[in-house]
Amino acid sequence: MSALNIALVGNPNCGKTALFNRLTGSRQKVANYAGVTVERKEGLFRTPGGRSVRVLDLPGAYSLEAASPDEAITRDVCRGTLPGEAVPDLLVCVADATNLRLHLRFVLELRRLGRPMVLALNLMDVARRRGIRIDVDRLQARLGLPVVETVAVKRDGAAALLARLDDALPAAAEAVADDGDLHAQVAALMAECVALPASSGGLDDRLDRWLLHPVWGLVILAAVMFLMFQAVFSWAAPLQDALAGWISVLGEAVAGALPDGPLRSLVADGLFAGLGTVMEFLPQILLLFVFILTLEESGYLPRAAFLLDRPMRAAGLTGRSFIPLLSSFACAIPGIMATRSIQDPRDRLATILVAPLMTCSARLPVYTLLISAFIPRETVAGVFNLQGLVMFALYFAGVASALAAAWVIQRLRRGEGEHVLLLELPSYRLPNLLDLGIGLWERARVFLRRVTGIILSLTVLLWFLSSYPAPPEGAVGPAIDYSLAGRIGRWMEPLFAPIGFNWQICIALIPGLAAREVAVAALATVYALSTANDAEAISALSPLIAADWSLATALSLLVWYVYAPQCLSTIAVIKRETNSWKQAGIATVYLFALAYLASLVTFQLARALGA
Amino acid sequence: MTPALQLGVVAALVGISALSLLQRLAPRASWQVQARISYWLERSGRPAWLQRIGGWLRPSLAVTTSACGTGCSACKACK
Amino acid sequence: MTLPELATGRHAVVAAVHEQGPGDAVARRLRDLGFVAGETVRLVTRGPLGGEPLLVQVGATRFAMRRAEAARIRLQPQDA
Repeated sequence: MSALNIALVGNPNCGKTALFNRLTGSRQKVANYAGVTVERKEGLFRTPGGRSVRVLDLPGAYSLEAASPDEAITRDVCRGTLPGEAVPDLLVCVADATNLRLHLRFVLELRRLGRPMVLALNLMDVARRRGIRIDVDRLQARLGLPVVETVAVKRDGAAALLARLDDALPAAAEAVADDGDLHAQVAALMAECVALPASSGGLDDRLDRWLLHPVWGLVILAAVMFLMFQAVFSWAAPLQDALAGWISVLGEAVAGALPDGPLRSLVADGLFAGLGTVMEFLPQILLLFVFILTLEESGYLPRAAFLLDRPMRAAGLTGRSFIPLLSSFACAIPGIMATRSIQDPRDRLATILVAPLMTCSARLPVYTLLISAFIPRETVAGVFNLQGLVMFALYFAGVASALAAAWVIQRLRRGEGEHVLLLELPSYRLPNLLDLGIGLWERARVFLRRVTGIILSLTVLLWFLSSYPAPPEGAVGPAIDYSLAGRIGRWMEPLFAPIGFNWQICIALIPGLAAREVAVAALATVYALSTANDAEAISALSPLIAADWSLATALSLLVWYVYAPQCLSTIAVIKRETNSWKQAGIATVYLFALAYLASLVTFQLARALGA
Repeated sequence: MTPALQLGVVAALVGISALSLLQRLAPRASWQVQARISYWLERSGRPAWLQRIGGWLRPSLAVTTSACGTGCSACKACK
Repeated sequence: MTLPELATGRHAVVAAVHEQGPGDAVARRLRDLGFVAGETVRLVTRGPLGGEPLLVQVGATRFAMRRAEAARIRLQPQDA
């Protein structure tokens, strides 16, 4: 039997992706459509009859009149007008059987294209449970298309579709430009073929009464977020420590096997430092994704966007910015990639530009080092731990700055035109484990691929800058002082004197550009300490810097880290997601400028107050 | 491993990192530079071994922006 | 009467979707989503801060929309 090229197309929230996962399992490939930041998902599977099928999961669309780049891609692929993309042999329209009133309209619109089509009624189990009766044969006759029932979340739920794919391609309907009022046709079809129960959507109503309640809704949202943060930061900690332990053991073993020399230094200080820092945050990022994917699958996230839309709009963002910014608390890179769900390009750009200000987990080692060295272990008002308060203040500063920055950005570039929300709040569903697993696996893979590629290259290059030229024989002082990075750092010193940075800090900031947490290891290098990991570095460094720096300097460095984009990978991702060096440049400049100003104010103020 | 060999390996790794970074951040420009070098090496009148290197360097012609949708992974720009 | 003026929790029937200027893509999208003459809509609830966005139910679907988008939807006069 010949191979087949099919595409899954339908409204958002029809369960298309669940069906895609059911058909392809993990045999999926995620990339981008050329020149746009629209995700291209392709998979491979075999029908029971042995036919090999390539399936494309097209972005959800409400209509062929595209309102966003996502929908434009769907329209172009279905019409066969997307360059480089072959027109699919068969279109599989996926419709939510519990909401045919909305979904059938698009099916009829697609039918006008005159291509071979099959209609897959998804979520049939939920429809039956709600008492919705569909006369499938009648529907098939009226539509002139083969109709199959699918339950994407059940193990063999795609069986009917697979069997249909074994048969010959259905005859295509005639291509028509316009065949009258689609809504009227849908109404007629519904009247004939679908029997709705007296009342429906009871569960959604009841849940929304609480989850969207003016008071309780916000309380529940705060509770959910608090739970997420607890999980991501406390529960992931043992996993993180374990992983860090294994990596340092592995690093030592590999380094031990190599003779002393530049190669060993590259492997131990360059490769393992680079890999190690990324890997250590993987448990946190994965845990965060578990929460976000679960909330997404359950249908709760649009509710969060609903609750927060008004305040976020006042800050120059949109309710849809919530999820990307939430993800940025673990790492801005997946957060920035998640901004694809924001339709309006202005809102999307604003969200991308402020995402780096959300306190990402990479800042924690730096904050921990400085707080433990300089902030006394006291309690304030007998209840609050001073160190904890300072940490909270840093987080708060990040969020507040992000909102303020977004406000300024939108004032500067408001532009004409409405900002539109128009967001569907889908029915609540129980998250499906298979979809969760595959979603997690996919996101982890994409993140790892993007980051290890760039961050690895960057760390190797920064290692090179920090190691060469090598110190001459009999030199005293840290080796890094003689290298290119050392020269640059020393040269920077007068520039950074007003904000209280000494030459050691200036030098450490250069390898610290690889990733935020690298600053800790870099400081250790500058103080000529040889430490295996961040924890060791923190405990060895604390007394050294406590003796060497003033409180004003420490506070200034803390504030610097709230703002400065000491993470070239983030900038690289901004460039990829905006397709523009200019935007990445703007982000870099404004963030460093903010960092310098804030540090300046902090240092001078602290010094004036006697720190 | 002699120090010279070590240096060679390190230099190679650093060079590869730099190149891969450039390719990731500016894929179109990298493709053009690679194409130009390959073309320059393959010009007639050059010794055969240079031409062979040029041929090996030649970037896949299928890698134009339109082909990115077909799932090819030749230019690493999508990854 | 426009949709934002509907009391929270009440049902109404759509009369038409008005364009706000030529080539109004939002109006077209609203019609595609089912806001056509004769459809019953219900204003389920409003956002907790500022009364925006509006949660509107049409048929079996719920949409969150801002006041400006909802203002395009004209409703048939309700009986007292």
